[in-house]
Amino acid sequence: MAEHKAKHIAIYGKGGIGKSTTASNTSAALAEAGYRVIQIGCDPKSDSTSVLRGNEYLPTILDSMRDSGKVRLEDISRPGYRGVLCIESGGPVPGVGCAGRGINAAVNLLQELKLFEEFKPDFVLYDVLGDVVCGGFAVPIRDGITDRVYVVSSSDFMAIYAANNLFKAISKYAPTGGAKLGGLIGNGLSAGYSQNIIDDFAHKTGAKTSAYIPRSLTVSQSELYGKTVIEANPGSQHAALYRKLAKTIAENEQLLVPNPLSAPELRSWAKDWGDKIFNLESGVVEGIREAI
Amino acid sequence: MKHETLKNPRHGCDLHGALQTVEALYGAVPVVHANAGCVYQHYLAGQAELSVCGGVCGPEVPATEVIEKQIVFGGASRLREQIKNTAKVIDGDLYVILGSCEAAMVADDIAAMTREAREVSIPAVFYFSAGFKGGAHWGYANLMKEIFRQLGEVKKLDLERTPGLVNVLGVLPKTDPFYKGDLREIKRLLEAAGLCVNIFFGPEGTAELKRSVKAEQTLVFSRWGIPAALQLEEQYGIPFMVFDSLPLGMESVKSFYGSLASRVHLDEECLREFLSREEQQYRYLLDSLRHAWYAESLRKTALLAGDAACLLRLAPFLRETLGIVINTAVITDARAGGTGETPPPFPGSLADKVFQTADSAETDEIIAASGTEMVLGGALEAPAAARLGIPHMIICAPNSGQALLHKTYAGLTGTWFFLEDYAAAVLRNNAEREAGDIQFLRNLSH
Repeated sequence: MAEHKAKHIAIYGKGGIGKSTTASNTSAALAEAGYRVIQIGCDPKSDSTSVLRGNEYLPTILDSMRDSGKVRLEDISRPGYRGVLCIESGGPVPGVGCAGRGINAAVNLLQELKLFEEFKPDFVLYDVLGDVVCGGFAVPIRDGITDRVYVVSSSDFMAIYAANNLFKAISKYAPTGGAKLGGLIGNGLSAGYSQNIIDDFAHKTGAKTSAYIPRSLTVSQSELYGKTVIEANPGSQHAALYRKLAKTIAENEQLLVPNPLSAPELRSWAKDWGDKIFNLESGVVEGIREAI
Repeated sequence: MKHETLKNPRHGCDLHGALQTVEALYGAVPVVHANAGCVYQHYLAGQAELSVCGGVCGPEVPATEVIEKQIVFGGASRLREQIKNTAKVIDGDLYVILGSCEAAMVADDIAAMTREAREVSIPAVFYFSAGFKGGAHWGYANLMKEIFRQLGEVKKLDLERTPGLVNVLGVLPKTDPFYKGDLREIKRLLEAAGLCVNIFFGPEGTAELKRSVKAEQTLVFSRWGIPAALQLEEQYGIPFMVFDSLPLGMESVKSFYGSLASRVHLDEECLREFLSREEQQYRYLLDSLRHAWYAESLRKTALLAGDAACLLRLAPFLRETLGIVINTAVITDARAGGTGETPPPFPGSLADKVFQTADSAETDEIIAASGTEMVLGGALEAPAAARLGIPHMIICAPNSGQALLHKTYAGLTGTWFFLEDYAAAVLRNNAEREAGDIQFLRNLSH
């Protein structure tokens, strides 16, 4: 029998952009399809897996490391919706210590505890704080942890800016065995031209867009009940979108190294879009007919 | 000649410079917030160059020895524990809390921990040392500045001026392995002119720190003393004078007194009497060496390698008093400052050729190509001199093969030590050559 090999996937994106929602719904959809899934929250906020486990208490890896010398897998993991194994790295008290080193230590500990050999997952999703402020937050995309990254972004400039920074990190580490880009996930899209902005950024950087998730009240409501859309509203349009995204992520093997824009290129690109949106709102429809 | 890697830089980092300064300050107790490796590396380096020191030093240095847990969650509470426990087991007049690269990277609040210690009556000051900020000289410069800045917060200070009291700064403990003798000699010279002196790194230690604010002048003998002198001026209104180096030899000492007299009142009568006595002795001893100087061909062209203040002290004495030609000078502390520091003026007049490098491999190449007849430097230059079969003498760090307690190559006493050691180095080399020649002839005859 061939050796069981899990796909390790990192989900990055600007803070508050919907990474955890996207990751949790993708995990839920994969689990619904019969896969064994682990979701690891790599964010000091430690709320990545909340909606997979009904907002129940889960000690973080770093809390356990701080409080007791020996950490056991059963102390820091809980099965959530359809058996998705939920883990949170956690972090230090805000403003103290080094969260980046904490992420690094937590990921190393999971490997030492032979989590993947024990649980034998098909998919491992790492939900990582998106503003890669230091080397510690880039650990999941370095050699030997994940081999693919999905970047979640809205069409807002700051989200695109963060995505571009992540592309820089990917293009830095990929040549030495780091993860490559699986795709860009447009999330929380509201305006008609939002999808075009995401597509244009993907085009400019040589990336692909894997999914477009519009802004949705259903998703917000489900989260208020501590559930994924897949669990709370399985027949909804968004549940279908997340199932489609999960299928894409499961099957996609076309990984690539993006070409991030330089700071002046990004500014110029943003200004062009500013002009286009201004024209659109002033009634000029030139150039973006399909968005209307 | 420039290399991508730096081989054997002779001085440590900012933390090491600060730590060895505290170690040399009697009455002060260092508490280092760092990995175990930082303090141990410092201890091993000190041991390797026989860096003798009597304060809380070497393996006794209290340190937090932080592990990953303190990096991830912050190490402030570990430091708090270490400061309190240190104060319980080591009596100190002043506890000096030092940071490290790790503490700086995770921004542990050393200042807050120091304030907490003060609240329970532990006289503590801090310096955010971190190896990436600069070299050992930078560590001395900024630690001394920080000590003076915070001194008034932990000690009750009497600010009334004491006429004739001066502070001495810029002689770096251990970075200058002769610092004990150097400071003792400059103190002797200043006391001979009727002055009282705070040298800080002597038997009185922290007691002199408290008196420092009463001084009427600070005398700075290398650029590394300037930040602390500026602090004393800004905070306590004590003016300062900067000298390129300590004086060496009668002419240099007289010129030093001349400069000093323009700013500080000297007891002229005492000084005249002292100089007359010393000069008589000086001429007598120089005269004693005259025969050997020529008979043994002691005069050699010389290459000097060492810190700027050391070279600026030795060069005029060698050239003008002994008639030695200095064909090459290698300055080892030109770039020892921190980022953003203005480099000092290039002392091009030191020698025919002047280089600035802390790279021992580059220094070796300079020595090999110099055509010099003698090397005066640190222990690191000994192999290059041996390869050329020429005499080598230690004038700066790293020290080797001798425990330096009161030896100095400064002032007037320094001239005797210097001439004795200089002659010994040449004579030892002559003997080695002679032994080599005899062995060569014996081999021929077999």
